Amino acid sequence: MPTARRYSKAMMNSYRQNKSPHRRLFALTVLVIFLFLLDVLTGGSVRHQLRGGAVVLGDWSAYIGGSVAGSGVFRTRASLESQNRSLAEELAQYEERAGAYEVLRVENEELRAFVRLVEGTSREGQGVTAPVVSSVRTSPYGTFLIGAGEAEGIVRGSQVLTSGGFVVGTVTDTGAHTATVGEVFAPGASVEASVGGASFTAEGSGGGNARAKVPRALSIRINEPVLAPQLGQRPIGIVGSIASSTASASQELFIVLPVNLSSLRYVYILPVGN
Amino acid sequence: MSTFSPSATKIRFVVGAVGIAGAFFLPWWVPLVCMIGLALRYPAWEVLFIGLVMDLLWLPGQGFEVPVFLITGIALVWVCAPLRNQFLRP
Repeated sequence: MPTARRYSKAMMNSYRQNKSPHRRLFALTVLVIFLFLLDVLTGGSVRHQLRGGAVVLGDWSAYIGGSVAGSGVFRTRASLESQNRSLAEELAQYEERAGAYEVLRVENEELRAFVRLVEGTSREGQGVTAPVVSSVRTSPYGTFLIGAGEAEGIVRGSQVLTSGGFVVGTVTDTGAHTATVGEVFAPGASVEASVGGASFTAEGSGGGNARAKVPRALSIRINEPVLAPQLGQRPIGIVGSIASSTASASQELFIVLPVNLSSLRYVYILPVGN
Repeated sequence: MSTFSPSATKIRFVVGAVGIAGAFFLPWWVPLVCMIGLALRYPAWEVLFIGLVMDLLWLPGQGFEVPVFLITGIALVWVCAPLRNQFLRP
């Protein structure tokens, strides 16, 4: 009987110790679910506030980082990192220009073939240039934030382009001064694409990369531009590499965006009509 | 080591702070690692908060989408509760 009483007492103590944290956790679980549902039901009121805060925090951190770097602390390291970053960006720009050149060359060939085709004077229309205010690596859903929103005329569904004219994504959500961009090649996303007239479905794998399976009989070259019919026949990437085997009837294309998404500072947002 | 010792509280605070800051600035796997670490060691409400912030910040926002991080946070907090009680009781 004493033994049973001792165990009973220990269990009671344990229960008293654990009851309070569990009750608090349960209340907080209900609270976060309530907040999420509230956000969904109100069309994103909570998330827009949070994203606005994220932009302000990003500005502050960039300012503090710049001040620390400019103060002379870590000067050698900072200068090397800066040089490395600028060289990487320069390289990415050259790659993008090469990709853009290839797009123009192919477009030029097509226009030569259809002499009567008259291109509109301004295909791009009145767009908006916006800064990228978040890292593309931070989002697990293949999204990033830009520093322009409804107040700047951004609407859902607008296409987001690099300076070279490649479509990196579409606007999926807008706040007052921020908008969320869903990458074309977000993990798990699929997009209808075409290379050299052959259509196929490209499966995004994040970071500006995608892969697709096409018949091996198709003649596809590396660096050939990949267009998206559903995005106004605009380029979404280039063929980075091709894996084919004589034992297989298909070949695998690895599609890359010829610009490093992490180094994107500004993007161009097209109006929905274009 | 007691769960409520000052060192444990400091560790919890630091990991929670890294997780919340990571939701804004660091690669997505950093907050996930913090969530798992916190859930394994403490009955941490921060896990739920990090999951909520991640989903509110980064979900594309096209209609209703599955809030993966929030669900993961809730699952971690409640699935790990018996484990914590069993192995980490002070």
